[in-house]
Amino acid sequence: MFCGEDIASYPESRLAQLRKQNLGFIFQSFNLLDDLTVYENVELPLLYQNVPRSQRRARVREVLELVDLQARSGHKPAQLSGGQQQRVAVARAVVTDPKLILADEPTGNLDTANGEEVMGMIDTLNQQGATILMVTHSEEYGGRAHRIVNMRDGKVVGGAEDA
Amino acid sequence: MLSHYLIQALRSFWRFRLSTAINIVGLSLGMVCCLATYVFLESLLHSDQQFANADRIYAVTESLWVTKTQRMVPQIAEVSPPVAKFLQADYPGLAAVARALGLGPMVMATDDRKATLYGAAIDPDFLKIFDLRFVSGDPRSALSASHTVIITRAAASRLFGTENVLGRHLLLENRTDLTISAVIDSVPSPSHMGDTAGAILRFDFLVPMSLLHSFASNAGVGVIADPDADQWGNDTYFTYLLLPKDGSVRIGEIKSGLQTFAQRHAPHAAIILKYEVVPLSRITVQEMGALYGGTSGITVIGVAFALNGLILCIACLNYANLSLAIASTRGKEIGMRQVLGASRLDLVRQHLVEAMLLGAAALTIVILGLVLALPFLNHALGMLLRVSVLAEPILWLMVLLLLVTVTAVGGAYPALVLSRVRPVDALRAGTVRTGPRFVPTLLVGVQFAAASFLLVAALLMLDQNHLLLRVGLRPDRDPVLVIANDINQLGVNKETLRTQLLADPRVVSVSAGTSPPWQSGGWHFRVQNTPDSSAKTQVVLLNRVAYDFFQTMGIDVLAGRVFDRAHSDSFTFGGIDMANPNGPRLQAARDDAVIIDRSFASEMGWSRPDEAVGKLLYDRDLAMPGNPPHQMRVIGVVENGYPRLIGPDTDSNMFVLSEAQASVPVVRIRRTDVRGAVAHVDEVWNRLVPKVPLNREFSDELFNRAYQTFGLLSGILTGLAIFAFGIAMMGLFGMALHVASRRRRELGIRKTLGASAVGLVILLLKDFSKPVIVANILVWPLALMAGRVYLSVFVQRASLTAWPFVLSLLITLAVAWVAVGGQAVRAAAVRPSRVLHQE
Repeated sequence: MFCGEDIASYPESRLAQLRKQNLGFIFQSFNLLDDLTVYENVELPLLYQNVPRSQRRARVREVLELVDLQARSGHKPAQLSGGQQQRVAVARAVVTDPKLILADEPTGNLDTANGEEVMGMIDTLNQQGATILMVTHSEEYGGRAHRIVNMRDGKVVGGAEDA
Repeated sequence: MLSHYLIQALRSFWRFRLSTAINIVGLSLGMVCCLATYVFLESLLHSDQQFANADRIYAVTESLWVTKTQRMVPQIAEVSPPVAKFLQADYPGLAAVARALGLGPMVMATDDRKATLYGAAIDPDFLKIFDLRFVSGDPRSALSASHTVIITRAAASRLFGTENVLGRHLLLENRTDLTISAVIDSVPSPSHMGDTAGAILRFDFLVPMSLLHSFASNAGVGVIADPDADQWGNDTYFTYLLLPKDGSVRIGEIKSGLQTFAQRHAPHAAIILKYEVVPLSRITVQEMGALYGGTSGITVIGVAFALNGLILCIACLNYANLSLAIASTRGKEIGMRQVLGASRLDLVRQHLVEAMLLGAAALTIVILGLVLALPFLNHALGMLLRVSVLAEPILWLMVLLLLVTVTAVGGAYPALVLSRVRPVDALRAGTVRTGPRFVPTLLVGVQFAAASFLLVAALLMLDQNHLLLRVGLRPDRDPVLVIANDINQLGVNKETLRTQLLADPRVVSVSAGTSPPWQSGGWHFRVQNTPDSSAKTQVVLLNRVAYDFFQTMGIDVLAGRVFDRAHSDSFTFGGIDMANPNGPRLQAARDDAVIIDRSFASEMGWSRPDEAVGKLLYDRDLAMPGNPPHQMRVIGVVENGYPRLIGPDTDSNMFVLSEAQASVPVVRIRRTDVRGAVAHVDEVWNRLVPKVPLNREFSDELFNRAYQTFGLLSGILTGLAIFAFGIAMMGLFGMALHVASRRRRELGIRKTLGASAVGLVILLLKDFSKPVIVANILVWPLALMAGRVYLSVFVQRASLTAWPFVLSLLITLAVAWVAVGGQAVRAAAVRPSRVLHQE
């Protein structure tokens, strides 16, 4: 169920539509496109939404500021540290103002300091009104959530009841 | 969005520079072939457009058939002399009908200069049909008097050193005095006529058709044609018609009228004649088709298009294959784009933009290359391609079409396959499965099939050409010198010439024929072995020769005897005794002595040469009207090997003695002192015919000239095969990249299990060889068919052996191994710890 609709039976094309308009993704391994600059990576979801250029520029600047990477907008992902890369990924996830952000172990590949920084950003986003669904092995980061579902070997083992 | 795609494309090209470079080169090669052929054909098909009446001019074509199904001479734009006359009678509304007859090279002399120039005889209306560019003189009256001549500006400069030559006199072949009535510019290329070596109707000067009568009366029983003769089957006259401006006669009318033309006007012709018309612009193509295709009906254009389609197809497949190979390593990017909201259409678009960009890059290279290569191409193909085609919108339309084709054919499949990738799979594995596994193999297989086809065809051609060279150039023999001046025309006494030439021991023997060696075509003669008119006829080429012909040409005698003076051998043409042409016509049938070659003997059912000796042959073509068939007796059988390259349909020969008509002397000289012998020949000639320069050539040279076209053809085909192989090799290389990266893990595991690097290389090579071998063998039957068609053009045919096929397989394999060897070695050198660690 998503926004009151059963999406399990959606065909691929509608799923693509859904992803485009409502979802943001953050991955453990960042998954930035190596050929594109930081700016272009963040801009890409807006491109697929056919947002006009001037609006795109303003919005990308805005989110890059949010993750404190304005100065790096012309760099390629390979020129950035892991933490910076993940911040770009966060910026890319929020640039379309999605209803739901899916985060798959966003801190998994980061050291503590960088992990802390990214988690701080996720917290901020959450406070600004985004729903965030995060998967993590970290008890500590998990603890910051409003609701926790424990899973083991693909089965829900606790916290499944509605809060 | 588009700019995003473009930037993305350029960056990914840069990342995969090697594959991209391979791709661009592959596409360029394919496009080069296409565009070069297009420009070539375009030039060919736009021949003669410079004439003001071009769209109203047509040429009549004639084909000769032995029976209703057996064609003897293909559809050519040269027709029998009476056609023009009857055409005019049938359609009085035509604006003009005129003929042109190529006279070949002739000697023209002023008081102090001489030059060998090509001449043509034309009907008066020729100048009405074709607006030749007159520098001086009046086109309406230029050839109204019989002893007048129009010469080109270039010829005027050669003969007089000036172009201001109106009213001056020229001596043709040391005999006929002509007054220059006009000077014209050369006919601009491309045209079927003009003063270039490639022109089908080649002329430096034009004389009125009526002048030929004076030639004939001078030459006695000569070979000079009578333009008014009722000779059906003598297909040598270009016959043009000009439709009236007002449209009162339509070409459709003429086309349908020509279907019954032969029945109405030549009901008693000894041969079946069929008539059609072609527009002026198609004459060049028609003649080329007849030359290269013989009677097979295969057109030059059809073959050109088929070959180019093949090459372009290989290039597109190559593109598809390589982009798939690249894509398999771009899986993560594709998955990520989908996660970020890219729809399937977005992905398709992105890949099509990439394909188009690559195509455009290739095209740019090609067009630049073509502009640079045009002069070279012109030189190599011996004809003038028009550089101006580059300014024509139709070419650019064609270029656009090519780009769209490449994009659609090459880009569509990868784009579709990639757009179907599921983001989950792509992100999880990092690599994606790009369509079914067999597809890259199939793509490479098809490329190699096409390349192998071209290779086998090229090898068959090479084999045939090698045979031609072996037959044509025999360095182990005494060389044969051919005197190309028409000695009948010049009134040279043959017996004097012969005895004076033989006076020097360096001259081995002297004889003569009616045409120089290695000329194509000949007199098709229909013969039966019973006098019964309903019996089957056999077509044979009739050659009129002088004494000592076989000895001079180096043709061995297998049985019986050759013509000799002791036997008073003779031959009669329509009752005229060739030994005594000015004597009374013979009324009674007589045994005419003929010599046949081995090939004709076996066609007549005499498997051993000596069986044929003494047998009788009959024909109706040379019989007196109303009389029983003309009767001939075989006196000897000689080895095959009359010097002729291409013979439409028949390669058997019959020889008759005709000292009077054999006006092309051939002289065999000792190879020990060629220079001295030639000097002697020159000296004798200058003594006998002081005013005319000797036009002598070695038989080898004549052969080389005749062979040139075939050398060129096989060169072109070999070139195409190399192109195709180049592209296919790149395709295989791309597949090797693809497979090697996909199988790294497997190879790593094999290694941990004890496989050696060498073993792995062999394993990989084996896998790569399979599609290549299968593809090669699958095209053998097709190549065999194509080879048969090519061979059928020639008189001397190479036997079809297995070696071109086996060789092609070996070459293909070698090429394949070179392409994948590096990748195989690299993949086999993999360190198991590294690949397996990455899991």
